[in-house]
Amino acid sequence: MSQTHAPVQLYDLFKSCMIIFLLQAVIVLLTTTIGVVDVTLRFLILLLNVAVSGLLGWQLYKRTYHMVFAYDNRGFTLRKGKKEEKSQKWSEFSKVSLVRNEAGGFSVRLYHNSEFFDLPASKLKLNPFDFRVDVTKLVAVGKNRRHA
Amino acid sequence: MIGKGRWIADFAESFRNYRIDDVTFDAFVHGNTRMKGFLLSRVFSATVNPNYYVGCFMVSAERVKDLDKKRFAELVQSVRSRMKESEMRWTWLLILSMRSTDTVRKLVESFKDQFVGVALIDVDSGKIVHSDSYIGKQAKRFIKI
Repeated sequence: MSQTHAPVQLYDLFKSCMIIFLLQAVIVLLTTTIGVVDVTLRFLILLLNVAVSGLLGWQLYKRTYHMVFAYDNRGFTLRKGKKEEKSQKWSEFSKVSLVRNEAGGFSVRLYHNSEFFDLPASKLKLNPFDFRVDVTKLVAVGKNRRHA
Repeated sequence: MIGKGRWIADFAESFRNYRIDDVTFDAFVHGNTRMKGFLLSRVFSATVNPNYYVGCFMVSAERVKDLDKKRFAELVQSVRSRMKESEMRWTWLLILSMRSTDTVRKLVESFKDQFVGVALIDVDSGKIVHSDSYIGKQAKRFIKI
């Protein structure tokens, strides 16, 4: 039974759009003498900036921030953006905890000896408390399977 | 968490069924005494609060059946070993019980450790018995059932 979670993270999407918008704003400021440009043209430039920010911001978000988390009873895969992908088995971990970060979001932390790996439950729009219970069960089953 | 409480520390990480050697605690939370927040809270916390790494272990008396002197010593020893391992400044050990016996109450009351505060909490009556140390006495002040 495999489950996939890939919700749009609005904050990161907004951040991506703002990065593109500010870049364009700087370019416009440096390349035109905005003071002498007609008001209608200024408004059109702004509209174009907003539209381009939306399009390129979405691309930047998908490439850099968008998370896809898939799991079944053997292991999980967490992909962030286009590059980072981490696949691990539940049986590789021994302890599970719930961690609250400074922004108030929750992550389920998986321990392998002293090393750990965080599954960002809040960012994936999973209920962190229920998700911790589910992960604890999966790790316990994985551990039993390893010892069998 | 159900019930009332007051701010003691920023317990950022929590474990359930936390095992140390042969002892399993129902819950373990740890964090530090530095308050998080926006600019003013941070400045206030940085100037007033010490940044101690602290913890709180919880165990139900039902889990440690027949809690006697030996079993109690094992619990405390496990807590101390965890404290030593991560240089924890102080810790609470909360024993939650429904039918606490006189023996257990006496064990808790007579326990003396400057850095480990033990509190026996009767979840039915809400009565709290604590160890004879500053940390132990604080448990009664901060924990509301």
